Amino acid sequence: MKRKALLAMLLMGALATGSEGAKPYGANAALNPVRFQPPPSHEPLRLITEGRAAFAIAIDQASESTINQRRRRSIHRGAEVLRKAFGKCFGVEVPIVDAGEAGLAERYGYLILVGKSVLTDALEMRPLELPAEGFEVRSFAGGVAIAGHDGSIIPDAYHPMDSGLYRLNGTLNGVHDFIERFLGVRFYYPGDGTIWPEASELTLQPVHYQDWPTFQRRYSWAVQHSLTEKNWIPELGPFQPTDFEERWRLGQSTRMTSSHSPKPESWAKVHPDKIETIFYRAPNDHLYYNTKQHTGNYFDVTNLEVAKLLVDDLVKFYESGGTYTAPWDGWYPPNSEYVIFGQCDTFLATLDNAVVRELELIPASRRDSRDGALSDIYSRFHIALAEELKARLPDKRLAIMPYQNYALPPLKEEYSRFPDNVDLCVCIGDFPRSIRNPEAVARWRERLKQWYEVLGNRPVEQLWLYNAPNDTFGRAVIARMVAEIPGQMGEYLGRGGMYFDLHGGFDWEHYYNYYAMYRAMWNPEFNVDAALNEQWELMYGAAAPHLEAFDALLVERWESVRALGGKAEEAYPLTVLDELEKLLSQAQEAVVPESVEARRLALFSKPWPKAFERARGLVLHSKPHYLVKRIPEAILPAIDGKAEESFWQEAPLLALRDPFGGMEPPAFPTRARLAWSADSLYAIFEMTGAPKADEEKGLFTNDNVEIFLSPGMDGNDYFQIAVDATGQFWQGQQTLKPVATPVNADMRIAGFEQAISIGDDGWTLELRIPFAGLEVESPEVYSSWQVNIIRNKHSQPPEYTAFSLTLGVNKNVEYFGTIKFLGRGD
Amino acid sequence: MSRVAIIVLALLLASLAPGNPEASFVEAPIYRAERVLFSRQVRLRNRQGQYRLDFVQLRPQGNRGAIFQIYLREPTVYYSFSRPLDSFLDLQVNGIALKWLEPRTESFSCWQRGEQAGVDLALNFDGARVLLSFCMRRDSPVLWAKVTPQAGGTVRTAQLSLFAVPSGMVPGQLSEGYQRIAIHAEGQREQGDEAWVLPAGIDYLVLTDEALEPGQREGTIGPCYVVFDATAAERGLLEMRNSYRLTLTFQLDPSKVFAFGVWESSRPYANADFLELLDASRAAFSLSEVVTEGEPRGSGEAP
Repeated sequence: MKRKALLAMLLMGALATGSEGAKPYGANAALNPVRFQPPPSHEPLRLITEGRAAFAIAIDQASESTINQRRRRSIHRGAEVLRKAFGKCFGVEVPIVDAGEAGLAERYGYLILVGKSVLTDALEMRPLELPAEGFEVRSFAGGVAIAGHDGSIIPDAYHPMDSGLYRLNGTLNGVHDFIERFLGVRFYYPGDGTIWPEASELTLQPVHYQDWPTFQRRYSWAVQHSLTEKNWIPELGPFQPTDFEERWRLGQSTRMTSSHSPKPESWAKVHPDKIETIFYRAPNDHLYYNTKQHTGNYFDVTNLEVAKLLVDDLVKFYESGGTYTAPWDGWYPPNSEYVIFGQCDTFLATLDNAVVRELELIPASRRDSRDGALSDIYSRFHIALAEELKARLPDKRLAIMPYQNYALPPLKEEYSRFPDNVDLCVCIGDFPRSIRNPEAVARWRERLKQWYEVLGNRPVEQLWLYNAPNDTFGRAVIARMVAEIPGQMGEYLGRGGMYFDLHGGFDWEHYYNYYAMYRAMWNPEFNVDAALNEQWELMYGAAAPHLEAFDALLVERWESVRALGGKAEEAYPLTVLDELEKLLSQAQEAVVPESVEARRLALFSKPWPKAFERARGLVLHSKPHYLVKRIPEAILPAIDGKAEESFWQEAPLLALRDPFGGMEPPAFPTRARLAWSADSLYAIFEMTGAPKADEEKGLFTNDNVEIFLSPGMDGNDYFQIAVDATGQFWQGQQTLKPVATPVNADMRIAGFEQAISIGDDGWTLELRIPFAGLEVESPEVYSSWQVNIIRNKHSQPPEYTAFSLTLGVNKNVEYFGTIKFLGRGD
Repeated sequence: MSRVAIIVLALLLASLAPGNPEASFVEAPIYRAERVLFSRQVRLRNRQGQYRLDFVQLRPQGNRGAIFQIYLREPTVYYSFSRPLDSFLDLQVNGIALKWLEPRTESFSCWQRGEQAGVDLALNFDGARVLLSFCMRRDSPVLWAKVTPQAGGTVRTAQLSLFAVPSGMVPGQLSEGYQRIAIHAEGQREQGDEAWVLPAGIDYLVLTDEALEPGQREGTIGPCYVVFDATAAERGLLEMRNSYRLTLTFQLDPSKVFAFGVWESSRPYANADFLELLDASRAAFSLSEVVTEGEPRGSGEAP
């Protein structure tokens, strides 16, 4: 269908009388399915005639006078948005007047009432009685009213302790709905992705509907982050400050949020004498306290004194009126209703001390559980924290996030009933990528049911979902599937929200996918297919059929292969890649060069050439195979950060490449080599490019090298060794079979040696890794191990190269290359 | 003139005709090349026939590491010593199997000396060096081979295995039962569950199958023939069960050079016809000096 014809139909829909069958006037399958009411009885409203406006926008000018945050001024913002939309679409300047003025009707003809005012009161509208963020649109003989549940005019709706994301902008939401529904405006992305249909006539038929969001938390930091001048991408056109968050109705009407809190480094500074109490000390005497960065810290959740100490600080926070913020230092502080507790991403396989052993806090059946090894430890702690909070701050609620190896509900009876002041945000690493995998759905439904029972038959309020990292094919399709989760989880999922972790920044090239997802968060009944079909037509004209087919093929591949656990190379064989490339090429041929459609297509197409190249590389790829030379017995290698010894010169080079399959050779080559002796594996990396080597920074933010070793060919486990250019190192181990366990970050490789030399334009790292230190037998001659080696260059320009094509998941053993331990004289 | 007499005459004329055998590296299609890390292909030929040896390093797959295989690809692909996906021999030195080694381009060298042409493969078993050679003689249709311990390391033990599928592999034959027979100078040995230790004095075997004898059954081929220097082996063992594949294993004397030869043909022979041919062309099917590079560390005696 041609775009203009579609636009005409859109507006014709608005002109329809509503008497044709069951479809109400204003209904559009591509928009939110609002709650239509019987339309009032009055003549059609000829708002615009021959390009002239016959109305004014009327608001209560005095309202929102105490609201300082612009994004909470729902009524005033709504009026501005409406005026702008009429200006863009009809070229008219519509006045905004005070609803209290006398004689408005005589002066302006019709009125569009925005927000609660004396005029909406006169119509007996009760917008503040709507659910949070809801709105009502109702026509009347003298115009149309758009009024919503606005926190800006509800006394005490906003508390100084509340996050700015907490905003109740019903009227603003209503205005956006109105201009989409009756003016045909569409907000897909800033600039060329925003459609303002031009027209000279607008007649509104009688209409009445309400709407409000299903989920309270619909927000992503990444969207706003992407719209700053610094992160603006050229495909969006010249930089312009934009309020896309409000256009996509992002925000939250719940104060519940979840994250890592308090901030470990800051909390430690407040209690320098309590560091031993706050942080976990492992049996190898390592204290999980890292002053340099967030990760590396681990609160001792086996120690209930930590809970008491936190509540002490919470009491101080509330007693100070929110001015005592040192333990949080701006990082997810408490708010007027919720207290947040969560651990940072320092993954420990297990916790082991006298308390854990004495209370048997890790049940035998959970000892090797990747999702539940620590569930009972955490539940014990969470209960203690909630009870302490209830005793001392009874009006506050506790938000916690079952996550990683405590994502499963506890097993022990005494920790299986949470106090009623606890709300959960459960992290589902499988979603949305596995939403169309019935087994994964059934698994998570059962887990949520168990949490529901732990909560005393209250639902899990929120979910934390993850985008597909480094996977263009997945990122193009999976977000929209979020619409299916509420139906799948049923009564076990509350309406607190689904936080979508972008996992890699906001990629506007997949705007349509995220557009559909946030719409679905507003209302899971949103018709994703209808919305996307309309979008292809509106945005791409003659190229639409090709892009629709392109998208459909991606969805089909995901649904039938990837969602069920199939590998990328199985989902996207060369025939599929050829077809996708052909469709994209046909789309490009169908648009007029330099046209707006061509510019839109440029954004849409942006990630695909690289994605195709990498996917082809993956299909054609064979696992790398490296031959490790044996060092003659007479030589005792010196670990000095230099590759001068003859055995290094004779060792073959180990190639590092784009781990996603790209064919371009690295811009910063690495001369990597391995060698071995009866007792150790040796490695040397001669790297070009001056490294980022800041001792004040953490290992993983400096230039570093990571080595993953999986002894043998069974892939039962792997060791990870990371060393940065300052000499900081990290060592870990993970068991993968028969049951995957979390990474054990406690391990220390006895006899491990490293040496670094930094030159003007590069650095060299030399390592000795004793087999005994890994607690494995020395490899038999001519046996093989599975290995990955990564160089993370973080100095500018950054570069990420690897031995194995692991698609960015460095520990993806299945994709590891092999090394073979050669014999004497080989 | 009988068919065998014609063949014998042809062999004789071929050996008398001018032109020495040739050995050269070739590039031929490799089955499932995506699984191959490295390969060298060598064709050996004389006027009486040709053999192609594919030396192939297969990529790691599943939970097995990279393996080295030697396929005998010509004159047949599926029968006798030729199997499309299996090495036709295995060599273990000091307990290390040839398949785990990683020969490289420089490990191979083709040569032509006098009336012989062949290829040498220099192998290193964790310091114990061995030369594995294949060649053709001007006067013989046999593929000759030799295992020569080299200086510079200690060969404590060495074992050579040869694998053969005489007369073919017919679907469903296992249920009917194979009738493998190894014919030798002293008589014959029928298949059985017990492995047979070769008695002293046996230095060749004609490997046949009575049920699958060409002329009796459609699509069969064979027999095949193996000849060896029994004096350089401490023991020989034939495992010839009711199975498509049989294995002939020699425990080698590590101080000696072990020479052997295999023969197969793409042309079907009735068992009796081949025995007649063998009788009539005894010299062509017998070991004689096989030239190799390098000095054998052992006796140096050539068969």
